[in-house]
Amino acid sequence: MKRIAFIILLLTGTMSISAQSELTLPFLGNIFQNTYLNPSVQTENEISIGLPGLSSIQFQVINNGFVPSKSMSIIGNTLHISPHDLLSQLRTQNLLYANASIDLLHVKVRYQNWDIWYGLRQNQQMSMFYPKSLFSLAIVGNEQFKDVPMDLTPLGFNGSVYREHTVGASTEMGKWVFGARISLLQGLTNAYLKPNNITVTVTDDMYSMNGDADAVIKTSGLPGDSLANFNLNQFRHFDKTNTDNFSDFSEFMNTYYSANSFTRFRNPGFALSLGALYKYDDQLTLSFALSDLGFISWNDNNKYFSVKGESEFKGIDRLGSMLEGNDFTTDSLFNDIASNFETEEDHQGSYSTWLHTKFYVSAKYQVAQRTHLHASLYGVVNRKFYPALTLGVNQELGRLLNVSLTTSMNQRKLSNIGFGLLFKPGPVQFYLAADNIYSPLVNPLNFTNMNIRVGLNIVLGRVRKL
Amino acid sequence: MKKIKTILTIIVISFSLGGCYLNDYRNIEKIQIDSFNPTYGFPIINSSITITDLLSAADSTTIIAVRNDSIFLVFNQEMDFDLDLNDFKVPDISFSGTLELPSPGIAFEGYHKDYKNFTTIENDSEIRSIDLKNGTLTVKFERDVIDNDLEVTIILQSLTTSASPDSTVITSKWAPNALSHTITMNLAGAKLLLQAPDETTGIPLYNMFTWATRIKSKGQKEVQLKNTISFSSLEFEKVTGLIHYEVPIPTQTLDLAAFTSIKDGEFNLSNPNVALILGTSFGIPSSAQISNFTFKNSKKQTRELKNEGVLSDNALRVGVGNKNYIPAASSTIPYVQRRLLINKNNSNIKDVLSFLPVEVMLNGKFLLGDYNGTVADPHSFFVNHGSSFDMDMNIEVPLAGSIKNLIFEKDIDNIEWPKLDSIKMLSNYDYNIDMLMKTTNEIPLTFGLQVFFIENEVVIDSLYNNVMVENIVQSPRVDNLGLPIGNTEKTSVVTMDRKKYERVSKASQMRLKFNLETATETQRDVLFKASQKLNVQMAVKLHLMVPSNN
Repeated sequence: MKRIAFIILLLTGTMSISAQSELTLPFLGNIFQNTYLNPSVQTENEISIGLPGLSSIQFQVINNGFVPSKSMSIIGNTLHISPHDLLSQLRTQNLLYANASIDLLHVKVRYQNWDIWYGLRQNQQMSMFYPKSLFSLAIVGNEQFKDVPMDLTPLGFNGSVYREHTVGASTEMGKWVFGARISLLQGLTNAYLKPNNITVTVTDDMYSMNGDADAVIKTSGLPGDSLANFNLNQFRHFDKTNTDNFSDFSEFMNTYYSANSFTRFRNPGFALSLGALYKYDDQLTLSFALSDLGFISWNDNNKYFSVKGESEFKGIDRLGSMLEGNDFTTDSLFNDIASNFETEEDHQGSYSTWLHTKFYVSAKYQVAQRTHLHASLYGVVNRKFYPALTLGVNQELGRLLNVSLTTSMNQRKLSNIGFGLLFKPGPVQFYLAADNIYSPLVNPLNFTNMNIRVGLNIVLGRVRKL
Repeated sequence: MKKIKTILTIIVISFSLGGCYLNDYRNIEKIQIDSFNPTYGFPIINSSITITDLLSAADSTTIIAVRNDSIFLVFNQEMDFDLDLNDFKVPDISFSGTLELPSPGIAFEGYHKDYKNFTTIENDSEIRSIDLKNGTLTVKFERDVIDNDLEVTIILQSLTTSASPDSTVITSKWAPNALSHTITMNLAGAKLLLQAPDETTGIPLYNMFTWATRIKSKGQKEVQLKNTISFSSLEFEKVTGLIHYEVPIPTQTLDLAAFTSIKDGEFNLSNPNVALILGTSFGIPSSAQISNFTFKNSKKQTRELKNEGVLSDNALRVGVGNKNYIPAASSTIPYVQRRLLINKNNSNIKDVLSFLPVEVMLNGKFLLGDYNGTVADPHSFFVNHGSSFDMDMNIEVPLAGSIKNLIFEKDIDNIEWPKLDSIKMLSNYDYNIDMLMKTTNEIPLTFGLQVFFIENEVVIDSLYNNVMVENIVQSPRVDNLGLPIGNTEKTSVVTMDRKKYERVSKASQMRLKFNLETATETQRDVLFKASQKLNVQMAVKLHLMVPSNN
């Protein structure tokens, strides 16, 4: 009864929130990659080895601003889009997120009662935050911003490429298993924007605008001397945009530059992950974990471009000049607006970015000899807290095959169907964990997020029952 | 095993159902976006201008002067009148005489005074002296017999040089057995003294050339001698004396460009001024007669400026026979001016300007040697080689008065309209563009605007519908001095939809029609001040109608 009450509590307590991220992977149980989320997870083999490019490739995309199907529909051969429905779904701040990671190496061994491992992986993450007001501006216009500011403060991005060297250990103590891992981070490249304030208010009937900006774009590890070399003009013609046109980005095509850039250790970071697993009884197991609590200190070729100022723009003050027959150009208009804001580029000092710390609570209940029910609450902090609730079933089919099926409340959707497969034909362990793979592949209009991890571990040694 | 089958069945069914959606997705051939109508507003102009800015824009050639916050329209014309030296030059001239020496060895001396029009200056001129810049003197001696002892001396009392300040003496130098010979002399720097006393009365005579001949011989022969004195290529540096000469003032024209665009209306300027500044470097008093002072409007109608009322000393006299005396320059003050004025107290200038002239014309003459009153020594007047007259006409119109229903028109040809269809957003959707204008006006002037769009000389549309002009700037109320009380706000909107824009963009010509009125019906007279401002805020409001593209 207690167990049922606990599960009900877990479910009801989280029904009102949505979530994101790796939801099906934990249900596959004893593969090494689960230690990324919960260091207390122990593998059944004594040794697990991951080879570069084989043991894990992960890719994730999230758009939590809107569910396309709520503002789009397909009737016959026509895709219907309702801009107002789209707008009504958006929150003040919305996230477009992409993440890719690849394991370069891992070795995990069991020594006595300890699992000890070293891992190396590379992560690429890009979070783009877009405010509702941008869409509102496009769909409704700017008249709505009379007296009520158009708040662009939620606008932002944080893109990082970094390498993670991990040392971890876990041990069983009675009904408990405790695990921890410490990661030394090797930051390679970062671009970061989190405005303190960007607002625009229409202040009168003549559309006078009051702009207030206080924002700093920070970059690290990007080639070149100045952010001004980005040549943003090329974006006027999207079809002709080419990364080669970024004046300095072409340096990455330079093998020497890339090799040098990706091996230096000028942007150090640190992260801590902790986990605990409690075997309530033979059927119920509870897990608690906190991972990626850490930061990277960026120091390499840093550039800061700051915009700060408050100004009311009522129009250009050149009527006298125009009456004299002098030309008026839109460039002069925008220059006039821009002149009210102070901009500065600086190269001094370092800055830090936090990793996306994750929290994980789960319950596993054995309903039959090889069948488990799972419930988990997962959360990740990426400027705000993004929770997800997952329910799933895991079925072992002998020692060869393990299949999981999950459904999650995640990124504004209730029915995120996830699928997991673990296939172990001898000393190798092939796995696939996919969250919400159903939508993007089958019904793109339901897509808000997708996560897939696939890999192959070499597993050796004695098998123990976990 | 049963469980495995169940799970696999669920998976297969799920993906099969999903496959239907994916097929739908692949079949999408078009996208329909539900209609939405965003409205975007953007400020364009927020600028304050003054009446001087407006006037400068209307006509860049007119000078706007500001003194003590008052504004003046200034029209200026400078005119120079040089003396025609071809008329005034000293012509070639000869004097000759014949003498006989009846008794050998006897000297003979005789003086001659030739009273001639030594110059071509009008007959009643009395020349005292001429300082020569250039010229040649030729003296020819002729005898009828060979007498080697004959000596002839010419004494030119009227010709002095720095070496011979009293007179010039020229002596014959006969070659052996020669009957004649010629002596020449360069006259640069020489001076002709043309004043001599009458032998009987002692009264000074002018334009007189005085010279004498003296001959003597030791020989026994009677000799007849002929002398010829010739002046040629004379150029004067300075002519001194009482000189009478007329310098015509050909018709001079001044464009009043500021009024060129005015088509109609009542225009009352409270205190216009015309100043005629007459300058001279002649050392002779003179007079200027302005025979005609004519104003012409755009309809080719003319009005003459005339004197009215009591004329003060500095009033410009206009009309045939009315003289405006100009003082003489002197050696210490080589250039003098006299400023003569026309205003509402001494002329009909208010009537003439209210007629909205676009051109002013005047002509007349200068009379050298014409002076008023008495002069101690009129024969000390002079004309230098570079003496001239000049005249500046300066019309100054203080911006004070009243304007009622004044209409300006300005045509703009060869208009090239922006290709709005090249803006992707506007080419695909219907739209309305509102041009918003909000004015905050301190200038006591109501400003109306209408724009006519013309194609092949036919008006195809206008900016404002159903009104002749739209008052876009409203005058504030004024006090009894004509100064504005506070300011007035006025907001006007011009709506241009896609159809209207497509229509008017066919126009190759645009006629701007402005309507101006000062203050209010009850108080039209105003004072325009340089510090009065008109603030203009302009904004564009775009209503985009994105249709549901069924």
